[in-house]
Amino acid sequence: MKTWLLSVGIFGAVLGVGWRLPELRPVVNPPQSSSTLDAHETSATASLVGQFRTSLSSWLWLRTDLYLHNGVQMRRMTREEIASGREAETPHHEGEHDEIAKGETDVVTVIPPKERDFRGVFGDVERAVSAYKDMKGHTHNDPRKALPLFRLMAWLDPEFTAAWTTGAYVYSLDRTPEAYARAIAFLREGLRANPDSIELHQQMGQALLVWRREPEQARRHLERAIELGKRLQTGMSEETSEALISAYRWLALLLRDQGQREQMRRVAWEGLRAFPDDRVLARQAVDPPSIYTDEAVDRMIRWAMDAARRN
Amino acid sequence: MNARAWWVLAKGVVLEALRRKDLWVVGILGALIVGAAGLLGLFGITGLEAFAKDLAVGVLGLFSTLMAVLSTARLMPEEIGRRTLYPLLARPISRFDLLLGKLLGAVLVSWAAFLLLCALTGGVLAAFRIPFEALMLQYVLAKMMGLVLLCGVTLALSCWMTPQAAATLSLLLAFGSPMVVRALVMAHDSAGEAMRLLFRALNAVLPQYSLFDLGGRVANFGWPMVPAWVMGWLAGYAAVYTAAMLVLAWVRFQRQAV
Repeated sequence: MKTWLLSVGIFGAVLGVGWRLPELRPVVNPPQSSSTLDAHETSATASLVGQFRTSLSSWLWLRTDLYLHNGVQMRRMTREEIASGREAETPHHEGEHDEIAKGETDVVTVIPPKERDFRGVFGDVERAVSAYKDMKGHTHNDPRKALPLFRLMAWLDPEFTAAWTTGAYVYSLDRTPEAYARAIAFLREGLRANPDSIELHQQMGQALLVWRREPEQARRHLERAIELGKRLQTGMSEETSEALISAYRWLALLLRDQGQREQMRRVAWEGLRAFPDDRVLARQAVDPPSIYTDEAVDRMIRWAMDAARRN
Repeated sequence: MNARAWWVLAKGVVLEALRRKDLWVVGILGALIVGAAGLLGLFGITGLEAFAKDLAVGVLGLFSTLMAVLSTARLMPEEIGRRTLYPLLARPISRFDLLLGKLLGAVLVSWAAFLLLCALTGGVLAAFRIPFEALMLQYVLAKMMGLVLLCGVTLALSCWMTPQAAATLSLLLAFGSPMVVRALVMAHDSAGEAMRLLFRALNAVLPQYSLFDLGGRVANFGWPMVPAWVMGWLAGYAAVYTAAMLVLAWVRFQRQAV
């Protein structure tokens, strides 16, 4: 009898925990960008085993990067390689795909070129059988071809915010009202899965402002991003910091366009206190009239940045 | 040297694999491939061609490696454990003939499994209307050469250690050696002279399975065919390395008490 009761009790407890799981999810697995996903870290160990500590969606993210390079595997240079003055194989900036290219600094091919390879014929054969070519000034495949992969990533892991933001960017590449609508719908879907994501609110705000000219709706998203940023007590990832800086900048711009210059300065000062090294926010904070010379504006910016640091 | 004995022994290995229903594993793995492809189909294959091909060559590489290692690692230890080795050695064949025959059988089983998986994944890709390129034939050929090397290494290890240890070490070498080689290349420039010599020695000794994998080219578009001299070099490397492994197995097997 006791065993029976114990079994029912355990079953009930498991059922109860299972029932509550959706509520536990944000606690044990809060929506946040995968700040640990940096497959291009600069230490040699991380560069080698980086791929092993990624989830399936992160793996897809890395594969997408690979397809953009038509299969040529790239990696960030190690600290030692940077110190030794090794030349990076940075991409050619190609207009519409600049967003993709700008993240690639200090990158080299995983398979080294002949002059840096001690393996002799083994190296020659590897370069002949693998997807390898000289990547100095390289270009990328059209990211639009990778769009289904972003959808797949977002479906597999809806909390992987980079899939939503990059996917929306890729949607927008066609630069038509339909493409912008699809991008905004994609972001909206992302926000439903991640209502507290700073990156998604910031990008939605920017998208509504730039593509749709809907300042009131944009303002709500940008203010929400800033509010969420203020709540974030622990260390922010690089991506989140960038999104938050962007939210301050875009909100300040929006307020300037609406003629609310006092509010614009207030927002910029607030942003500058959080990010005292940001020159754009410093310029918005002092909001110099256009008659000022460049030197005078520079002096003002320096003064604002110093003041923000002191505060 | 007894070519007829090699053939009979190899046939025995293939029949044993069929009797043990090893190839059923291929069927189960194939069902997994089709299931995964069906899932992929839900998202629409347009734009996912490179991903589908990448997944196909990745799955082929993984499953064929597992099949080759697991079916080869138990060949010799089982003969010894079941005492069926002794009647075999009582026949007019040398111990080297026995090893070579077993290796041929293991290679045939691995090739059969690989080609079955190839046919299945090829069918799935064709259903998705993903175009085939001539490079795919080179991929299959190189992979088959790589399987010879893999079976040779596993057979040699299984003569020196338990089948479990041999299988584990073979899999570690199959999946880990490309990473080790990558680490050697990255660390070479900053290493001292003595370490560089060690790196060169390690690079020469480690089985370079990744050289037999043309998957990176096959999965992406517009890559040219691999030059003939490279395919020839791969065949030579596989032959020399496998011969060395056979000799290593024979050295141990010579001391096997009857």
